[in-house]
Amino acid sequence: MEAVREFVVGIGGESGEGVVLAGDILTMTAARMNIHSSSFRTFPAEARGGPSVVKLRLCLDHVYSLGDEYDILVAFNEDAYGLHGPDLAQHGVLVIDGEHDDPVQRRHPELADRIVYQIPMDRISRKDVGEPRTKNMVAVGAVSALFGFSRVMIEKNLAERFAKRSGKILQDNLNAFTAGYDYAVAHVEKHDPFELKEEEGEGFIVLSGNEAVALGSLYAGCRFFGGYPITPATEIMEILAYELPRVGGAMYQAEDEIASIGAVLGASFTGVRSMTATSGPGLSLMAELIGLSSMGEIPCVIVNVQRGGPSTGLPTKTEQADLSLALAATHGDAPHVVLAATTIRDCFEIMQLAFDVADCYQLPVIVLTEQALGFRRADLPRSLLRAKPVTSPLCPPQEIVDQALYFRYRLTENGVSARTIPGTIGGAHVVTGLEHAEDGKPAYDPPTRRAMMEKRQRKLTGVLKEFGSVKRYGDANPDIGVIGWGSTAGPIREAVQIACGAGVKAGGFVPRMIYPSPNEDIRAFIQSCKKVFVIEGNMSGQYAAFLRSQIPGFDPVVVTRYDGLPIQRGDVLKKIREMAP
Amino acid sequence: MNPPEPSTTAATRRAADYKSSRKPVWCPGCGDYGVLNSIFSALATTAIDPDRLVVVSGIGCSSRMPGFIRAYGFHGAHGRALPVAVGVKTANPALDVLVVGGDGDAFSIGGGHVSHVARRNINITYIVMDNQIYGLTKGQVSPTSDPGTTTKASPYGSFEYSIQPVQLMLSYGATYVARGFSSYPKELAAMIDRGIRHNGFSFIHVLSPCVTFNKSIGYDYYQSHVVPIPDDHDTNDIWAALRLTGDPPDTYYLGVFYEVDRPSYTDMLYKGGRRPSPEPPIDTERIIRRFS
Repeated sequence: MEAVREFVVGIGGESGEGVVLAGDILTMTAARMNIHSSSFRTFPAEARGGPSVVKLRLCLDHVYSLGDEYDILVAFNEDAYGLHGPDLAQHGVLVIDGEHDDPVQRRHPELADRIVYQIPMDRISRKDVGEPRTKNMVAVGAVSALFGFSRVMIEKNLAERFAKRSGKILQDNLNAFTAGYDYAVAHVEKHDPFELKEEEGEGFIVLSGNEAVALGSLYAGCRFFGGYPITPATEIMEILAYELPRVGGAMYQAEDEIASIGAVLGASFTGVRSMTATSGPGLSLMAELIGLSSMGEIPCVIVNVQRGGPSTGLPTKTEQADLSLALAATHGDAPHVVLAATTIRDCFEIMQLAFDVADCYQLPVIVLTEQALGFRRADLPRSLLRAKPVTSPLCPPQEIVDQALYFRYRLTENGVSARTIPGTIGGAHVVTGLEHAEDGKPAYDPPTRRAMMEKRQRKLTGVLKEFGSVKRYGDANPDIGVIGWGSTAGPIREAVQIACGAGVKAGGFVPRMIYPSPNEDIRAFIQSCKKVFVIEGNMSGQYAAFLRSQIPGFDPVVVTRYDGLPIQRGDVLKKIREMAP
Repeated sequence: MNPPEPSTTAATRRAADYKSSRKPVWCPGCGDYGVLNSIFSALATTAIDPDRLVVVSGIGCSSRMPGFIRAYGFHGAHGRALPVAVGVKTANPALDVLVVGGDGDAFSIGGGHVSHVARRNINITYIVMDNQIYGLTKGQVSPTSDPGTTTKASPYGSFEYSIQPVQLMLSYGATYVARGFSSYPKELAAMIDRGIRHNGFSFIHVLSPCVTFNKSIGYDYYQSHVVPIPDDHDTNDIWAALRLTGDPPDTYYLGVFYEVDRPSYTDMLYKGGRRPSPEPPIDTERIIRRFS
């Protein structure tokens, strides 16, 4: 049998059984073996209890989506099989807790002619290791033996992970790993083709979207973070809480989201690159001060890791339904920028763009990511984090100022006025959320009002021209064009590639800058396609509705998904096939 | 970006040096004029460099004050003066931060912030001008209005118990708590001066009458209800301070209730209380190890 080196693994169990840790160890081991990966974990909203699952796709090239069915399903119990069994490919392998003399097929006749390896994970952890919490490591041991995850690397990984814990914890985990490994070698007759092999290289780093956002911000020069814990964005705050003090910055855990963005505006007023990260409910609370940022022309960056809404909604699941909120952002006409990260790597890179736009144009920038990106992890080259971090802002505040000639809100051609920060001699001014004249003094007369509204709005022309950014995939003159945004970029890219490979002329278009909208690029894409559909992860088709308002006469077919799960490449492919000539 | 360093030479300054070219927009007779003058005198005493001073406010009549002071100012959103001030001070502890506003801004819409800024001991000075009414919206009850107050929005008389700002701030852990009266500008200026010098969160409650929308709680009313804090009051004694806030009832003690030394937020956050300069570089190799 020829070895298959690319496959998808699922690990399912009860929350608290160590599913996430098992997935994490396999992911990091693959990265050290120079195997590309994409992985995703879901867990229940409550701190404990309920089903938990990790999906890990392993490939020889960088991948942009999680793939479709599982080739290997590791079930910590039969409930997990019941839940995830339907997603196991017909040719797939089930690795499940249980004894040889009690075949799972007795209770599940549908498994009769499938590949099933039973490993007594529970018994080994309790009887042989004497620590039931190591059940996950028994499973990892068996998976290592069966599918070629490097034993040496896993043992080293365990030693690193548990270095700061008691020696017993490390020993129990190592014992469990070895017992699982040895059991599989001694008792399982392998008859599947899935086998990893170590590749050449220095090893990859592995980042989740949240980790990438945090590091991207750090490297982009962010030195103040004000935030409030909220699933699924909290990790960004936690990483920066650790990293910022090491570079002279600060993480401020505020009393609520309103205080978070208030502190961000205060810090930014002093010239420090500042940000917050939240999810839908937090963004709703921040609305008023986003308007203040726009009106007072104080740069700020707000990351919104979208979850299912409205209200408390689906805290641990994904959706792309905060777009309309981000586009409106606040009351009044408040010029601001909306960016949407497309991939894990983009979660890192888009933060540089966000801070540059915010600084140079002195306005709020909302960066949309999603739980599907925030919790998904992918391999990235080490060079990404070796790049020289930005230490000084692209558009520094003005330094020496003649107070008599200085007007904080001077009317200019591109709408941007010189900004001074406290401490600058002669640069004193008062920021206000009231409408104001060039010197910042409140003013409500119609000519001033018009001039100032237009000044702030003009900035968006420059933003689009200088920083506008879109991604296009596939055929240059497609029969079927797909438009998406955010995390759908990966599935669209792969689906378009597969469709093109199968002889369908397909093309994809994904903007990184949603607003101001790159209408010329969008129009050019639409005109190059015979048929176009928009696909997005919300019920009402928020981006499609926005595009209708931006591109007169454009009325696309809309595919939506709003079940808490991310759009998969299969969803994209299905529609391409349906519409193909 | 490295924060500007504090000035090494404290020049002598006059109250007029802090006066901006803008004329206050308050009603004639408003208590806030007296408070503004006390702030000018206090600033002159401390000789703070106007270019290193940031005056932050929210929304309300008294919150227009940053425009009348020659300094950097931030006239932000209703109830959110404290969060903004925290951001300013945390990002650049070398700046002096003064927060001004009214009773509604502080204790109604902004009520969720005062306790946290107090307990964190952020090194800023907060001056609350209390007129027991919403003035900007033309007279509705505020959290400090007396029960029975009749307004257009409480036509049958308010039946809500009012809060006591000094008592609250003492309970929240503020490290400097004082009360002044806008008719006694010299005493008020001394309290503000001491508050600015205090290392930590300083709160100054100022009785500042609204002569337009709360005529019954005017200068005469306060004159007959204020009493100086006794000379033998121990400002280190929190329980003695708390007693002065309620005993006897209907008495407004004026003076410093409480002052205690506790490291401020930025003292704890940064070594030496200042952001490091130059900024330490990012250790890229450590971060790579952390994520591989």
